[in-house]
Amino acid sequence: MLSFRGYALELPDRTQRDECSATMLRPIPAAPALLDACLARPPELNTMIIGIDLGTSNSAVAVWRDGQPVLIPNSLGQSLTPSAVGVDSDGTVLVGLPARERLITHPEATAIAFKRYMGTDRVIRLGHHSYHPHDLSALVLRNLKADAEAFLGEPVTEAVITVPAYFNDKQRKATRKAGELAGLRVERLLNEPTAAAIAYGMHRLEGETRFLVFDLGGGTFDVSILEIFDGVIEVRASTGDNHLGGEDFNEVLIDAVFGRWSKEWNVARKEEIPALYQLVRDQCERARRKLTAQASVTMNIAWQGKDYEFALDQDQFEKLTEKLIARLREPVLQALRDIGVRNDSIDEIVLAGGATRMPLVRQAVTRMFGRFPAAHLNPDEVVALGAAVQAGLKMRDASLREVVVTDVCPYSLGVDVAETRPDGSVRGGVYSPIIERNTVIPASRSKAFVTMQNRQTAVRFNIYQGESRLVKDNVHLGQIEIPVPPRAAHEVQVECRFTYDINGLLEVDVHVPDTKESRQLVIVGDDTPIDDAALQKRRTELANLKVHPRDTDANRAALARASRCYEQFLGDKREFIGRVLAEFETVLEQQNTRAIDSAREALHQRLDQIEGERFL
Amino acid sequence: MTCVSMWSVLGIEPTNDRTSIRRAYSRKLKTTNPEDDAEGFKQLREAYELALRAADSISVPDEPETMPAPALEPPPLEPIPSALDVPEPPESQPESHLTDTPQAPVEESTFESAYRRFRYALLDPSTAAAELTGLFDTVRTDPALHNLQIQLQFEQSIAALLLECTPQSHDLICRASELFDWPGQSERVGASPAIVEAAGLARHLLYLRQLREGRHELAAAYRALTSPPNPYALRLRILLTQLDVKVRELMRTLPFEYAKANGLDEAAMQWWTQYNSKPRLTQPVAFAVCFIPTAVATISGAILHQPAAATTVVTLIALLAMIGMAAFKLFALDRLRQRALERWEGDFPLRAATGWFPVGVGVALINGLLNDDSSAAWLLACCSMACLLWCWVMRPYGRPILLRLTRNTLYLNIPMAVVLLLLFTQQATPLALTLTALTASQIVGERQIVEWWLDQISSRVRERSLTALLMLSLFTIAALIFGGNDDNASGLLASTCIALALMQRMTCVSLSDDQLTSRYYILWFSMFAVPAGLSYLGIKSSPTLLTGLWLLMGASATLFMALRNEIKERGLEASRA
Repeated sequence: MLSFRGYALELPDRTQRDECSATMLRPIPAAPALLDACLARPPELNTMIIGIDLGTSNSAVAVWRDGQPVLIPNSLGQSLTPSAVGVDSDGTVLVGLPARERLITHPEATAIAFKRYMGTDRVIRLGHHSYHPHDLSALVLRNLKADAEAFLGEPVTEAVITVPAYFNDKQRKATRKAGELAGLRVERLLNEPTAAAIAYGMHRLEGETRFLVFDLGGGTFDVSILEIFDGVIEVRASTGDNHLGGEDFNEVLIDAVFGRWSKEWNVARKEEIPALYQLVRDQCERARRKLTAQASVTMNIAWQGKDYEFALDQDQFEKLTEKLIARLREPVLQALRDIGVRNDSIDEIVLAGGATRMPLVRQAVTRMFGRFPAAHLNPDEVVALGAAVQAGLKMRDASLREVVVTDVCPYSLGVDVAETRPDGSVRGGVYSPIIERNTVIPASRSKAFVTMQNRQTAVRFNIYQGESRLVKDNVHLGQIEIPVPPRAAHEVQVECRFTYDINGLLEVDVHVPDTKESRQLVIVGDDTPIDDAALQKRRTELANLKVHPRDTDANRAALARASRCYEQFLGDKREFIGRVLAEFETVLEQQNTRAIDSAREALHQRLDQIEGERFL
Repeated sequence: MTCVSMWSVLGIEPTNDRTSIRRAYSRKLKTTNPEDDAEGFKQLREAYELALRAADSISVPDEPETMPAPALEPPPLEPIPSALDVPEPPESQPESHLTDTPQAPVEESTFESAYRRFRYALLDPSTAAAELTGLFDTVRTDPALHNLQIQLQFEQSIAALLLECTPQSHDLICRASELFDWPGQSERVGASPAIVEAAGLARHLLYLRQLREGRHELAAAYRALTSPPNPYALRLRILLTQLDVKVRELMRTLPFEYAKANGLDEAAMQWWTQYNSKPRLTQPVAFAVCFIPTAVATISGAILHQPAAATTVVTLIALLAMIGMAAFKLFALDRLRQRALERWEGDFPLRAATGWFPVGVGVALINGLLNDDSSAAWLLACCSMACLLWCWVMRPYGRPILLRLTRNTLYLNIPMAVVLLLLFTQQATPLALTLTALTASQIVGERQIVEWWLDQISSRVRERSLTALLMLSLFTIAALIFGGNDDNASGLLASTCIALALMQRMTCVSLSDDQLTSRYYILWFSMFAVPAGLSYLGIKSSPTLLTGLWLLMGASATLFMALRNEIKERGLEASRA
C-alpha cells in the first residue's frame, strides 16, 4: 500500500471517471489515512471479487456466493481450464483446452507450463508474435475473467490470484502484472498452500488444529504448516521447491522412453523433434495417470507409421522416481525444523495439487507422518476454492466476519555486510537477514549497521532474498545508497528498516540518525516499474489479438482433439477417427446448434472409446 | 514495546497461560485485520509474540530432547504415531509400512533398542571403531526414520550425542555430517546450534584428513611441516621444494581453523613455531646450498691468478659496490614497501636493470678470466659476494621474494650474460661452457624437477619435463666433456661445480618423503652423475673407456626414459587415489 509512485488510481467503472475529481486520477503519494478513504468503496460499487488459481498445468476460478465458495465452469462446462495458449494457422489465439489439444499436432504453436518461467525474461514465440510468460498468463486470466463474467452476469474487475508460497519477489510481480494486463485489479496475492488450508479449515474454525498442507502441483511444490484457533488461520511455516512438480515425474518417464527408443527414432536429444517430444510427453502423462488406478500400463507411441510400445508397472515407476520422492522430504523437514521440534505434533495433513493423486506420493506422505493424509476435497480444485474464500473475506462478506487469515513470508530478506573474522581478516559478502523467514506479515524490522572504513562517504546496501549465509547464493533484489558524514570507521550508525506488506512488496528505509538523512526504496523488478502507459498499451495490444470467440470453444476443442487422435493412431483406428471427424465437420457446416452439440458429444464418446477418457 | 504496553495492547492481565494469551490475540485480531490496518496489526503481533515469550520464560521451556551426559537411561523417544485415528482412506491406498502396534507405548520398537545399543557403545571408550560404525548404520537404516518427526528428533539428539563423545566419535561425526547434510543446514540462517557446531567440527576433521592424505600442494606443505627429521632439513626442504608459500598459507589458516578443535594438531603447531623461531641460523645454510657453486667457481678461479695491481682495483670497486648497496638500503630500501618489491618482481626492465648491474661487471670479469686476467676473476668474486650481500639485505622483505631475487640474479642473469658473451666473442672455451652448463642445469633442471614433482602430486602431466630432461642431459654432458678435457684449473672448477650440484640433489632426495621423488632422483643419478664422474676419470685414461662410458650413458638414458613413464603412471595413480 505504500508504493503509490507510478500507479494511477484505477476506477472500477469507466463511466465513473468523468464524475470524479481530477485529483483522483493523478498519482498521489498519499498518507495512509487518505489512502483508506480513497479505497473505501461506496456500497454501490461493491463488485464481486473472484478467486483464481493460476496453475502450471490447469487453472480454475471460483467465487464466494451464498456463504460458500463455488467453482465457476468455463465455456466447455468444466471447472478446470488448461493453462495453455496456442496460435491457429490464421493467427487466431486459442486459450485453454483447444490450445492444449493442439500441443501434439502443433508443438511450435502452443505454449504450456509457462508459469515456470514467470519472473524471467524468457520470450516464447507463437506464430508471428513473441510473448513473455506474463503475457501468456494474462491471456489465460482474461479467459477466466470472461468465464466468470458469463457465470455471474456482471462485470468483474478485481481478483485474488494464488501463487506458490515459495515464489520470490520477481515471480509475484510478474503474476500481478499478468493480472493487470488481463484487466483485473490484483490487490491480493494469496499463497497456494494457505488457500488450500483455508478451503479445508473453513469447516473447523472452532477449536485448535495444526495441520500441514502438502501442495504438489504441475510445476511447484509447497509445504505450509498452519494453525487454526478461534477462527484465526495462522501460517506458521512455509517452505517449498519451485522446481519440483508433476511435470518432473513426466520427465522421468520421458527419459525412460527415449532411453529405450531413441536409436530407432534417430534422435540424439529428446527435444530434437518437438512433435515427437510432445507425443511422448502426452503418452507418459496418460500412463502416469492410469497408474493411479491400475497396476501396470502399456504406452503406445505411433511415430512415422510405426507403433512403439513401452510397458510400465508400479514398481518400475517407483524405482525411476525414487530421487524425486526423496526430494519431497527436505522441504517438509525444513518446515518442521522452522516451527521447532516440539512434542505437539501435526494433527492433519492436507493434500493439494493434482500430482498428489499419485499413490507413490501418498505413500511417501503417509510414511513421513505415520498417518494417512486427508484428501476428501478434490486436490485440483481446493486452491481455487480457498482463493474464493479469501475473495469473500476481502469483500467483507457478512458470513466471513469472524475469520482472519495471517500469512508468513517464506524467505529471509536481508542485506550484505562485511564481518571481521577472529584472525583479523575482513570478509565481505556475508548475509545479514533483517526479516527472517516465517515472520508473520505484514512485518517491519530494522537493524543498525556501522560504517566499515575511515572517511566513508556513502553506504550502499544490496538487498537479497534467500537463506544462504553468503549473499552470492541468494537472489539480488535491488540496492540503495545513502550518504554518510565522513568520519572514522565504526562511528557512524545507519539504520535499515525493511517493511514487508501483506502482498509481498518490500519497502526499504535507510536512515542515518546523526544527519537525519533518509532514503527509501520500493523493490521493483528488473524491468521498468509498472508504468501505467506501457501497461495500458500492452493491454490494448493483447486485447486486439484475435482470440477465438467463446461460443466456438467447445467445437474447436472437439476438432483439435479429433485431429490429435488422428495423428496418434494408425491403421483401423485412424480410419475410424477420420470418418467420425468428417461427419462432425459436415454437421458443423449446417450451423444447427442443437445438432452440433449432440454430434460433438457423440464424437467425444467415440474418441473416449479409443483413447480412454480425456483428461486435462 | 514495553512490558506493560504489550499487555494493554492485548487487553488482558499479565499471565503465563498460553491459551488465554492466544484467545486475547484472536479476539483483537478480528478488529485489527492485517488487510486494513497494517500498522495496528504489526503492533498487535509484536505484543502477542512478546507475551508468548514472557509466558515461555516463566514456565518450563519446551526444549528439544538433549542427552544428559553419562546417564544410562535411554532417551524417551516418541513412539511411532499409530495409524488408528484416520479418516476413510481413498480406495486406491496401497499398503502402508506401519506395524499395527497399538496402545502400549511401553513396548520398545526396534529403532529405540538399536539407538540404545549404539549409545551405550559410544559412551564406552573401549568400543572398536568398526563396531560403532556398524551400530550407527543399523540405527540409521531403521524404517522408523521414515517418519519425519522421529528423524528430526534423531538428528538433533545424534548431533548432541556425537559432540559429547569426542574424540572417539570423530569418524562418525564426519559420516553423519555427510549423510544428514549438516553443512547445508548450517549454511541456512536460523539453523540449530548443535548442528552448526557438529558441521563445523566435521569440516575441520575432513580438512585435516585431506591434509594428511592428500596429494595437492597444501597437503605436501603440511606433510613437510609435520614430518621432518630436524629443523634445518625442514627449512631446506621447504625452501628447495618451493612450498614456502603454501606453508605460510597453511599456517595462516591452520590456527584459525583449529581454534575450536584444539589439541588436534599440536605437532604441526610445534613444528611451525620452531620453523618461525630460528630464521637467521638456517638461512645461510640455504644460501650456501643454493649459491655456493657459482661463488666457489669464481673464487677458485680468482685464487689461481693473483697479480697485485688488479687486486687493488678490484677491491676498490667491490668496496664501492658495497657502499652503494648500504646507501641504497638506508635511503631507498626503507621506503620501499612490499608493494614496491612486488612491482620490482613484475617489472622486467626494472628487474633486468637492477639484476644486471652486478652481472654487467661480471661479464667483464669473465672476459678477463677467459683472457687469463685475474682482475676479472677478483671482480667476479666480489660481485658475487656483493650480490649475496644485497640479497641478505633484502631479507626483511620476505623469504620467497628473497629467494626469487637471488635466483634471478645469480642463476638467470649470469648464465645469460655468459651466453651472450660467447655469442659475441665466439670463444667457446670449456670454462665458459661449464659455467653455462651448470648454472643452466641448475635453473632448468632443478626447477623442472621440482615442478615435475609437484605435477605428480597434483596429477597434472606436463610434457615440458621431457624437454627439461633433455636439456639437462645435454648441458651436463657438454660440461663434463669439455671440463674433463681441459687443464687442471677449469677441470677442478668443473668438478667442484658438479660435486656441489650433486650435493644439492642428494639433499633433495634425502629430504623428500616421497617415494616418487627419491626414485626420480636416484634414476637421475644413475643416468648422469655416475657416468659423468666415471667419464671424468675415464677420459684421463683411454678413449675406449670413454666410448664405453658413452654407451653406458646412452643405455641408462633409455632405461630412464622407459621407467619414467612407469613413474608417471604410478604418480598419477597415487594422486588419483
